Amino acid sequence: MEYIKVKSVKEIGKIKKNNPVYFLAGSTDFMIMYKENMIPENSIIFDISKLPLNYIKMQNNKVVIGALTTFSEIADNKTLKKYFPALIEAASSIGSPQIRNRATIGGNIGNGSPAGDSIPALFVYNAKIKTTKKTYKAEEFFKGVKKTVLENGELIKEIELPVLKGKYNSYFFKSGAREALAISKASLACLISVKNKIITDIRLAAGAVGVTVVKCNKTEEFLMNRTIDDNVISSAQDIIKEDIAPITDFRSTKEYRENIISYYLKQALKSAIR
Amino acid sequence: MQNIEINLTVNKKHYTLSVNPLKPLINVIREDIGLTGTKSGCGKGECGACTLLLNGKPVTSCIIPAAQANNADIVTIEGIGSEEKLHPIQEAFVEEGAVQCGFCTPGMIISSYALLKKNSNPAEDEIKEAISGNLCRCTGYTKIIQAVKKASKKMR
Repeated sequence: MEYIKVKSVKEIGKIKKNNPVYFLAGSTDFMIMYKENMIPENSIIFDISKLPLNYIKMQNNKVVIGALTTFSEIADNKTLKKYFPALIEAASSIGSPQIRNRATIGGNIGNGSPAGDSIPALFVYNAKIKTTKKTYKAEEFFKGVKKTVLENGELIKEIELPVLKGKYNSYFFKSGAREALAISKASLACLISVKNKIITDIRLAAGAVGVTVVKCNKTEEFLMNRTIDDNVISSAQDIIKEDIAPITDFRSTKEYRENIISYYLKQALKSAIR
Repeated sequence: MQNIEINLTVNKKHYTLSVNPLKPLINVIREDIGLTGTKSGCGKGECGACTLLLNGKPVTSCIIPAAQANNADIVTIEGIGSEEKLHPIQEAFVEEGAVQCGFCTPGMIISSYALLKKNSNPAEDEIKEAISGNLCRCTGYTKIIQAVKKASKKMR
């Protein structure tokens, strides 16, 4: 294993392709893998924590978040609070104060867990993920449990969130064994625009109920242009169970996950017309 | 893995050490520096026993690699109050019976200290949030929350 502290993104390019590369930012996931001997002996560990990728800035109707921005910084940011409340809700629910002071948004994305709490919000806000190679839509980024499009040595640089025009509400719900420090059993992000109880736009993404975060396309299609009433809510609550593919594991059961996602959808739709 | 040299300040004292860059910071604090007030619990950042202040922010030192503490300013439980005079938070923990087995106490006090520095008069919810990353299996938390409230009065 080799440890290299990098001062610029360029230094990362100079690697041998057959050595697995790990990037060290907040280290909250890495150190646990390291302690459990999950890091291959021939790995190169790039400490990127001092790269200038810690910022939140407004740029041509987009908010751009540097990959090294911590969840504490995200949770406290006024611009993000104004435009992306579901991301704030997710960021402030992650781990504990201690974890949020270290864990970065780039790490949450790069780790590629279907239970990564920031990811459903990134899906509904149409986020783009910019790496050292190219720019991906959040929805195209995740390929399986802890699998992403990232190639060995490809680094996430920043996340772009387009500022929405028009009146939108957004919500994030999650369920875990306890409020702090529990990996989510299930989570749902919802972005919705409603006029006279008619849904004019809706985006839904669910976490920890599939091999990646799941975009709920069927439910979105069903709900578009419908008037929110008890019947529509009830039908949508059934349809969303078809969008997701939860399993029973040590954290929760398939049935619980289906039911809680369905309940969160109801909460979101009711809140939207309140 | 080759050792690297790190410089760090712990409780206002400077140290230069040669360490494995991935050695958990808590082991550096306990073994290399010899400050054993910070406790090692789960080793995964879940229990908060190893909480210390890194550049003013509470963090779990069991999942921080030593390399990332280079040039850092660290405060451990030994840096809060002194042997002769307890810090008001420590006094309040003793007075309120917020210490039972004591294993979570250093971490609890560090998290409370970080809270009270930012917010001198926190509401109960804010106290609960601030210590949400610190597990206590003895007290049921009620006395800890009372102690933080009492400390906030003492410090105002």
